[in-house]
Amino acid sequence: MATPSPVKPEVSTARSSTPPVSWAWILQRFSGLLLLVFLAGHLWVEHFMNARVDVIASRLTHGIYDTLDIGLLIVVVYHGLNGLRGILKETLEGRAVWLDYTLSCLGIVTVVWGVDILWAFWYHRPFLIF
Amino acid sequence: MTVTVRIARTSGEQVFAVESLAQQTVLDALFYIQNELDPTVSFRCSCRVGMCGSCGMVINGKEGLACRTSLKPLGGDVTLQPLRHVPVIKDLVVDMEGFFSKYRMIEPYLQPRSEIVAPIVAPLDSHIRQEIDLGLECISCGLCLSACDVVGMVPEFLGPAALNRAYNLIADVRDDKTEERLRVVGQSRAGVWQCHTHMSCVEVCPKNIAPTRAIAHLKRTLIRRRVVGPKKRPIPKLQRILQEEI
Amino acid sequence: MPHKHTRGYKAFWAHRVSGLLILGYLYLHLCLLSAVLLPSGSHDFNAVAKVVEQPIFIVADLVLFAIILVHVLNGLRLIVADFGWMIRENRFAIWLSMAVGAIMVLIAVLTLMPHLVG
Repeated sequence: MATPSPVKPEVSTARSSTPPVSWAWILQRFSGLLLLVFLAGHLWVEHFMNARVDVIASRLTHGIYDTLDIGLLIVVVYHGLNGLRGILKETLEGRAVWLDYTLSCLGIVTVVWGVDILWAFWYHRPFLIF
Repeated sequence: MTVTVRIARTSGEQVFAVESLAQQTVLDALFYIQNELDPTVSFRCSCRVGMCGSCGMVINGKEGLACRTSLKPLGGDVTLQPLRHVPVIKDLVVDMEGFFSKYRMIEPYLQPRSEIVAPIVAPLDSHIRQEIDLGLECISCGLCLSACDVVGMVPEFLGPAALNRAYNLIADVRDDKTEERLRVVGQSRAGVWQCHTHMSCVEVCPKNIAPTRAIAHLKRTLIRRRVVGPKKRPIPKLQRILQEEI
Repeated sequence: MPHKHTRGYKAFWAHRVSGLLILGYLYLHLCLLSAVLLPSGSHDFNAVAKVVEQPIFIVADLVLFAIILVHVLNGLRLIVADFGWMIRENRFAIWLSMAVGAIMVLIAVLTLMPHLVG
């Protein structure tokens, strides 16, 4: 059984500071709503608007569709890894700063990887992966 | 009818056969067991009418007040366990210190603003009263803390009852400690951000309070404070509000 | 006796597990695209398209769609709850969101039926 430990306030109770908010919590909601828009666009462009593969590939060399996919990529990576962070933070003691660094690096690598895949539709081969 | 009552005692599960009348409650069955079958069975109770909050326990896997739970709908088989997330002292008696220490962290009493020198009553039909009335009924029975699986995962979490009380005091314009209270409820591990909106507390509350609503309100208040700053409640305006409504 | 968990608690786990599955799918999606685009890969999207039009992949797509819907609709319910709405009606809200999801999956199944039956 989990026995509640005596809890001390983590934050200073000095009058000057504004009460804390969790930006991770707020941004998770906003990115979730944004994802809904991007995902609907992604599914529409890639699966419903003329779903022939060569048409999709040529369409992906147009800025507007690329913007849609890069936007989706950035937001989905943020939302997914932020959710994972929330799960891991629950079990980790303290602030676990290393976790934030690790997940940030993973996020940046994933976005670069995804952009590289989109790049391949312009130049017919990825820039980074040889 | 004969009811089989299984009690998760400190010494292990013990089964009792209880002759019960229609309309009897779980607490009646416990009294019968203590008086007629085994005087060593321990449980807490006081008012017997659901207003003191002493007899909270887990009845057939769900939190409830023994005095407000009828035996009949439970069928012939009743399992009684002590509340979760608090240490067991004996049988169905738990140590509520963990629950009340969380309560104490938010200083659960009105600390009036210095400009209020005489008692100010918020009338029953006033806007202020309607805002805080929704959560005032709490009898601190601890059922919500037991039902809250977030407390199971993160033991520091203040829990539904304390956060609901904090919300009541923060929503009350007569209270002076809004900033301090918000700083306590906004903490990352113990505070409102930890709530996963399971709403288990809402489902078990014997007083039909919705602590999740209070927690959602606290989250929005904290965000509004950060984005647009605290709502200014100057003295003349406060007096005007209260005088208009009184 | 095991604790009787509330519907909101079960919805929480459905949300968490579906979220992790979708995150796993994101990496699978990137890996597959990379494999095709690699110089040693086929570069032939039409050949890939032939493969993924087999019924088994269509079924997998439908399962993915259902998992995404669980996460999306549950997420929307949580945002609604953050505004203090549908809190006492939470059990109905969960039922409603899953019913909407079921209808959308049904529409997807009917749309993809020609691919499923070959």
